Amino acid sequence: MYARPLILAATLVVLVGGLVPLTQAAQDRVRPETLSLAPARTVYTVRPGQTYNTRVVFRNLTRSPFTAHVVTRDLKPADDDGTFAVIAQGQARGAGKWFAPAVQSRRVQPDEKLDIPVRITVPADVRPGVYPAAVLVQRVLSNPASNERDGARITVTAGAASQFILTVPGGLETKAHLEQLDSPRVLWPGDKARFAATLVNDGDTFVTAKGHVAIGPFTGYAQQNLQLPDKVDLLPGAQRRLEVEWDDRPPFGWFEPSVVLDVSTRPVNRSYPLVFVLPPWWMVALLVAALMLPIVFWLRRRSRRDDEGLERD
Amino acid sequence: MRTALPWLPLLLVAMLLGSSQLGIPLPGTTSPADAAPSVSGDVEIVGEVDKDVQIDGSGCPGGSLVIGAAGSIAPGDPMVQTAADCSVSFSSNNSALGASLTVQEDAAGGTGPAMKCTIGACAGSSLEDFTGANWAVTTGSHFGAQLMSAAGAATPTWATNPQTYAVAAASTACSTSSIAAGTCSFRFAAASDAADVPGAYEALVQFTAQAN
Repeated sequence: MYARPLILAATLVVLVGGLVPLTQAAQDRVRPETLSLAPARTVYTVRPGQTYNTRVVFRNLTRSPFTAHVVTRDLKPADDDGTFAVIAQGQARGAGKWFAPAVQSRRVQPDEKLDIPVRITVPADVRPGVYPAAVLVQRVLSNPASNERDGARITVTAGAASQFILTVPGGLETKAHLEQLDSPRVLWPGDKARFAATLVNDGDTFVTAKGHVAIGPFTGYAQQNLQLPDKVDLLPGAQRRLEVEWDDRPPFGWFEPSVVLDVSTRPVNRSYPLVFVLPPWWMVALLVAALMLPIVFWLRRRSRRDDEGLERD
Repeated sequence: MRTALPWLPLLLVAMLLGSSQLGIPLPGTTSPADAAPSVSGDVEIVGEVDKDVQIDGSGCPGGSLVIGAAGSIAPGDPMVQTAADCSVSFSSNNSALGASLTVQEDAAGGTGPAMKCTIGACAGSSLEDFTGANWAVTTGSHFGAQLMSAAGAATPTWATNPQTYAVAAASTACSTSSIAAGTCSFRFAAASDAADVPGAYEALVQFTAQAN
């Protein structure tokens, strides 16, 4: 009488008891050993002599406590055009010195979230321009230097940077242009089609660019727009290679592609040379057949007329 | 008083216009120049705290950061690497452009080459920063970092081993082009000249993840 309820209860106990460690194990497997710092990037217009308050949020997502070190550094545009900015060498000498985090180092526990207030004091005599800086939160991964034996050792710190792009306004010029345009001229069936261009920020402002590659047929109808992946931020003097693939293209025709960008509300456009998309073989065969058939019929009719004329004679 | 009443609105308008042109605040108002700051003079900047950048150095254990067996590299030794990879994962959800991982000498390392003497008779000595692929033709003492592999969403910017890069100014080793995480693995290599003075040498290397 009680067998079925007992078996059911036992089954439930086994299932629930088994699920709990499974869930915990699943959590352990996917739990990252990461440090997280937010916001990733803050863009703001500041005034000379003004003081600002902000904060960065640091999270220890690792399984162990450690001491987090907070430092500020200058940023500068990177040499390679895939990177937004790099930390300038050495201690902060520029905008990085404007920043005063309320925390310099702090022991953080696993899963702890740390709000770090940061005070920014803009010098009263600063000239108009763009001043990039970063607040870094770092962890020392290994410090073998505590071992005093002879040898060569490396102490490594891993850190995340919260970027601050501060603009002091005053007569700054927004200017950008496109160069190194690259596109196919003739596309065979199955060819990959990629349109590329380098956007150069040669003004003295921080710019944000978004846009697309517009592909119009020679007739001007049925234009396609290939959206760029995301908006692109550029420091003054920086450049970024923009690329987009043309996957869904018509089977045949002449096309006029062009890059159409909005760079901080200013249009920046350049046209590519014409692109000719060759048709697939079966379309060529159809075209040939469509052209040849009337000619064949006409020749046969003419031949029959000639034969009929001969018979009458 | 009754004769002045009709003129009051006109007088008020004139005062307001005069205030705006001369920058003089009326009682109970603030001039445009003072409108932004609070009483303390501070302004609050609020960033997007749901957009973060992440770095994971758990794949870089201490044992991977010693050059040569038990950290011993003798004067005259040719290129010797660290014994295991130092793997770093990184990502950012700031935009679809992803994140970059840069390598440079920590500012606390001061000036000069990255690998410097810290203890011993070698005071003032260092191993020269090295960028290149062919260690066999180099003479003298050298130190640099090598990219061994890129995995996940990471695309290498550095060429892989045996190409070596000086750990000095910031250099982008890897990057991602989406919000997915990438992992890059590194080793460090050094060569010692026969004239190098034995002692404890140390390089301070900084990996930094930033949004693209």
